[in-house]
Amino acid sequence: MSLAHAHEGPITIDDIAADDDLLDADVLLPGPIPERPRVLLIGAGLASAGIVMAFATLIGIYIAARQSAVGSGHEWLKSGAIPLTGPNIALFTLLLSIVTMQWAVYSTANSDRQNTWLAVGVTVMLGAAFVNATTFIYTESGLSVHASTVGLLVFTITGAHLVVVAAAIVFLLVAAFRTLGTQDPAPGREAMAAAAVFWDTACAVFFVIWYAIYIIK
Amino acid sequence: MIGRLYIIVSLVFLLGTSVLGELVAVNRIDGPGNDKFLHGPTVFFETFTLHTVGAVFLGVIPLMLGVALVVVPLQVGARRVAFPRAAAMSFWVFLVAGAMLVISYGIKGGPGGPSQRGTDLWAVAFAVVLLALLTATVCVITTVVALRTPGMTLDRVPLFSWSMVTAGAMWLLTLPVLLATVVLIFVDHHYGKLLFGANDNIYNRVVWAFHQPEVYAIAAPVLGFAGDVLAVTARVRHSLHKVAMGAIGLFCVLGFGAFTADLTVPNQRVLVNPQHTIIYAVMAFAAILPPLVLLALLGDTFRRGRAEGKPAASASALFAVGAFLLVTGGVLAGAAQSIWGLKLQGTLVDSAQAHFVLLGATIAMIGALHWWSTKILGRSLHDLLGLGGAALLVIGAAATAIADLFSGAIGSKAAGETAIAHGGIKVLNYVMAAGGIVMLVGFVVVVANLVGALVRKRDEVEPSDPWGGYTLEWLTASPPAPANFVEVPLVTSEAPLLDRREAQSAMEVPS
Repeated sequence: MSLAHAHEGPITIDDIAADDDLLDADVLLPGPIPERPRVLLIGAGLASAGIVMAFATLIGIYIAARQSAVGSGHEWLKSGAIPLTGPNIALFTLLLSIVTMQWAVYSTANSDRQNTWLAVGVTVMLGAAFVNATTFIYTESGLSVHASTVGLLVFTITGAHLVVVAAAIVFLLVAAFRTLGTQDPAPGREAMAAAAVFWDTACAVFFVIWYAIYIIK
Repeated sequence: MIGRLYIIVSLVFLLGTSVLGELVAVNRIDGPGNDKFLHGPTVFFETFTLHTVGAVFLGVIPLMLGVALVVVPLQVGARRVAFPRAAAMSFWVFLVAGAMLVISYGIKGGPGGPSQRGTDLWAVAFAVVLLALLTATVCVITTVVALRTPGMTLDRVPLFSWSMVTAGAMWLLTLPVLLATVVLIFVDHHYGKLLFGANDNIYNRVVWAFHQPEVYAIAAPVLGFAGDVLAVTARVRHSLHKVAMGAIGLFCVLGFGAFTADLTVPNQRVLVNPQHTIIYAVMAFAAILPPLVLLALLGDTFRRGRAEGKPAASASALFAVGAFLLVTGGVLAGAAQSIWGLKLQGTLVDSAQAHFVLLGATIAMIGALHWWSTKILGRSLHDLLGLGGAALLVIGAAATAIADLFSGAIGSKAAGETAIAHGGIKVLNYVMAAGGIVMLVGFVVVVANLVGALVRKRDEVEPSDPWGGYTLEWLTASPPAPANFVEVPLVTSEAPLLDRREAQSAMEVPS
């Protein structure tokens, strides 16, 4: 029984006619496994684009309202209204979480279950810490959604961002359970990468929020 | 299945909002203060806003998504739509949120409505409807980008699927802007009305989504549908497929209307920033190019088809031509409206332009139901009834839009949306109302055709390719089997079935 050498791509009639080995072969080796389409990654990318546009709108409205108020001589945010400690801690928490998220993706690709679980766990904890930091900012700022336009806008923007972070945490957990529930986690790299794209988008949006709201005030 | 559910529900909503539109048109005949059916200080405006919001976001866009969810996977050779569970979730969320949106008007909510809670419900329901539509859009785009059959590069994707990708990409860039606005409207309205003020101002924040240039992004699938249908009708290969794809893509890019959402200037639809005016005018004139390019390409296709004595008319061709001409008319009206010196902005020309484009989009999608009926319903539709329905819809739409166009150009120059809804020249208002009735009759004919096909006894197996189509959906059974294709085909051009037929003909030619 002779074996043909491995052939790239699907074997056609012309290939068999042109190649004597193939003509003589009793058994043909299977072609390479076709590449999986990156469905999850593309979907996560599209969803992230939509989220970026939504927050661009909200932050744009905030900046326009601020310019209108400052331009007509009104005070926008009282000096010291939002102490910078809380927002800075929140920002660095998310920056750290970007690193741990990439750690999770890398570990999954290397079929390293222990490190993947650890990385996912730390990332989720950092996400929860961010939520905690944001609620701390709410109590420290003394802003009210009822009393002023700035309060209304700050609560809407940061509240919407909290929803996105919560969604990112859920996405990460689902991706992690789906990936680590299989015998070999490596093929689940795409799901973790998709979760990473979504997570990184949430972090990037917060960076813009941090600058537009907490730094510029 | 989810695509079919979207189609059924969106047709029901379209019928309802069309009836409301007709009530508005009849009420408007004698001008303000002469309300015939819609009595009450806010009833007219609430009916008007339900008509506009419902027609676009509960009718036209879901209908497009429904057709796309069925047809696009077949056209690109995919076994299923991407994220089928997400698509299913999006439909059920859309259904519930759409019902809530309608109910909010029933409890005196909506823009201009007197009820605080009703208006809050309206905002929440509208936001959830938008989320559902965006989810379905992600499913459609991902299907084309990631699940194409081997050999089908992006430049070989059929024009309808391509138009859904480009339109969907624009929707992903612009509808989140609307979503963010509606979320802010809810928070502001619920917690003190500090930013946008009273209920009366709410509609002004969202009205940009129903006017140019945003309507072009909504209507782009018309161009793709017309391209697919008319090439097969002409019985020749489409001229310059890649140029057609480029034209459709450009049309979508020029439909980026989010920049016209001026959210800081209260009570003004008219753009006041001179830079926006220049951009607005440039985009409006540039938008003429894609339909003209496609018109030239389709004209050339038909010329070659006629030279070979081939074209075969059908109801779907009439739907496609009528819709295409309506959209082109809307684009031309939009270009005229953007000329600042003519002072047409804030008049009924706004309404006319929106009617041209959105009615064209609706007619195209109804035509799509006719064209792909064997795949969507598993039944072929009666062509004569289809022709009748198409003629009535196109004539009614043209009468509606042209009446408004002349009313706006030579009649009242009121500013603000409520005044526009009330304004117009009386004779032309009668024409507009009559056009609406003709459209409703056409709609009934179409629905009768659909229902008749479904209840008709099936004597024989439906043909898989009743039109001699060029693209992969015509390879599947009618209706398609689970997983769509028995064998995943290898594609070598944008018209794989035409390639196959030509190869078979060449083999049959005696030497």
